[in-house]
Amino acid sequence: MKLLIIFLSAAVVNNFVLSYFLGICPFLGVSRKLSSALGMGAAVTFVMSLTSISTWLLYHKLLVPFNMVYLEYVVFILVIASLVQIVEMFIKKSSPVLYKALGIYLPLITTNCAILGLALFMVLKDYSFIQSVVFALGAGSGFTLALLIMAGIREDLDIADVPRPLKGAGIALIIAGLLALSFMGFSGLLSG
Amino acid sequence: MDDRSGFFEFKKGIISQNPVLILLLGLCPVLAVTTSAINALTMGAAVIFVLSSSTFVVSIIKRVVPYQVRIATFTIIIATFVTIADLFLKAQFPDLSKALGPYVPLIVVNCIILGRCEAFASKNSILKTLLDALGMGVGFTLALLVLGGMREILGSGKIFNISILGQSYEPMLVMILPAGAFIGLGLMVGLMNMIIKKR
Amino acid sequence: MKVLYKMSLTLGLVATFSGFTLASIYQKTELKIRENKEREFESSVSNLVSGVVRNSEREIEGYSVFYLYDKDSHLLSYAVIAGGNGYQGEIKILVILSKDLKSIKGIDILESVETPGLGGKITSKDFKNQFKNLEVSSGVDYIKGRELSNPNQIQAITGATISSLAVVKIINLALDEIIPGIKKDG
Repeated sequence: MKLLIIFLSAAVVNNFVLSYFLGICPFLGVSRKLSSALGMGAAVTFVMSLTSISTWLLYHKLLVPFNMVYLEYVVFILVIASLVQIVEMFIKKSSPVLYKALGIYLPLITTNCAILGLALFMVLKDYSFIQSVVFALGAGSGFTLALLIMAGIREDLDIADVPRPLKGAGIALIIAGLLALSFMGFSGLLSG
Repeated sequence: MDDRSGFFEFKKGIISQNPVLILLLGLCPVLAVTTSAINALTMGAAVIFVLSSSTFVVSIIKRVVPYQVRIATFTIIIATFVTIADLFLKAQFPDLSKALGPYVPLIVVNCIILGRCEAFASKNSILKTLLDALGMGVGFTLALLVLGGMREILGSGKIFNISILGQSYEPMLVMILPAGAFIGLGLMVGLMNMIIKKR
Repeated sequence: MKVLYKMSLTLGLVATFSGFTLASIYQKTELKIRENKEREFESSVSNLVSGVVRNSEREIEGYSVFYLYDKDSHLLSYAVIAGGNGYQGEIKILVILSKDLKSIKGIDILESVETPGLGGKITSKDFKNQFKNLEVSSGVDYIKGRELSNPNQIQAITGATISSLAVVKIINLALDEIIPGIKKDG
């Protein structure tokens, strides 16, 4: 039951994008196409799961026992960078179509705050191994959900009459704000 | 090789190439820590420190770093300085460290820092690099301060925890919440665009 | 081949340098950081119980329970850190339990991310003061709107029912778990 709470919390109540502001860059720059938003979300979820596994192991089995916790940030970011490289090569081989669609967004996953944020939160909340994986799945799903909604809205936005200074990032941010407001309605889902 | 003055390298980070409002980089901490002016200022200071130190080191060793590993090298350097800043805050300013939370280590993936290392520090002199870093850092901090100050004043009637709008002010709570951050930043970006177009 | 060698050398050097730098900075700051953490706990405790000179920590049913002693090594009270889900996220509460396990001396909200202005009011003095000298033999109870009628009741905050209720639930859960444990330990 606690696992379900962790999943829902990461996906909806404390959505990584709309509550913690992680992963804004791909969120704002996401293409209008729902299909690439889905592909990006899936890639991020995949990387997040791998990240949670490897960083959990490294943190609890190496850094903590050897009193090297201060190397946390350096080690984590190196792991993430390597994982993204591996995932990129994997996608390139297995699905060239997807690879082409995601384009430059793939290497950008490394600097995606959401991935590092996931690892940091996992340590802060002191999750167990299983809890960390569930957390990663929830966070990735929430990220994908936010991306999908945004891509869907963006499709209609192109036709709308947006004041010139706000075109692009400005209006996207305002819409994100409204989305964030509506997601707040999910709070209280967990405590009841 | 254009010979733009040092002052230009510094100035551009503040308005014409403001990393937050024009280049739209490093937005995650912008939205997260601007719940109050003091938080914004602390984050700005941390970023100025990490940005200057990292680009400084990168500019020094730029000739000896092989092309293929430059991103990995830059990343290690950045993560090191972020850790230093984090440890410093935890030791000397524990309350601020707690308020900023995980957003200090998230400076590691702040696109501004890696962006400047890659686009500027690895190709320019040490002096110009420092000026560029300071300009970007100050521009970043100013954007944070304006957003943080606005959110704090509208959302709680105080600035730097000093009450300025009086007891009868009904705070706009939404400003302190994530929604307020998004909307506030969106409006600021729009405003900045208007200012740039007029020049 | 030479390129590969240069790559590994560069990375290795940078990583080593980074490691050494961080290790030395860590050594210099480690003590202060730990002191800060302890001071935070101690100041929360001393706001609610005076005369605490030392504490000893025991784990009971997964909770950290601190036995608080005065300068003559007499047991003053117990402190426990209880956590649970609030409206927006996790709430961490410091509960000071009296020596006879029959009442709460007071509480402090250590961590909370409740909605500012609404649930966030659980960190206000008015709300927390309600828990001072609250009888807990039959658990903490809450009411809304009416007058308090029992010595184990507190008033929920208007507009923040869920957060207030969460606080009560978290405290009750913790007390249920640790009081039998303390009685057993002696």
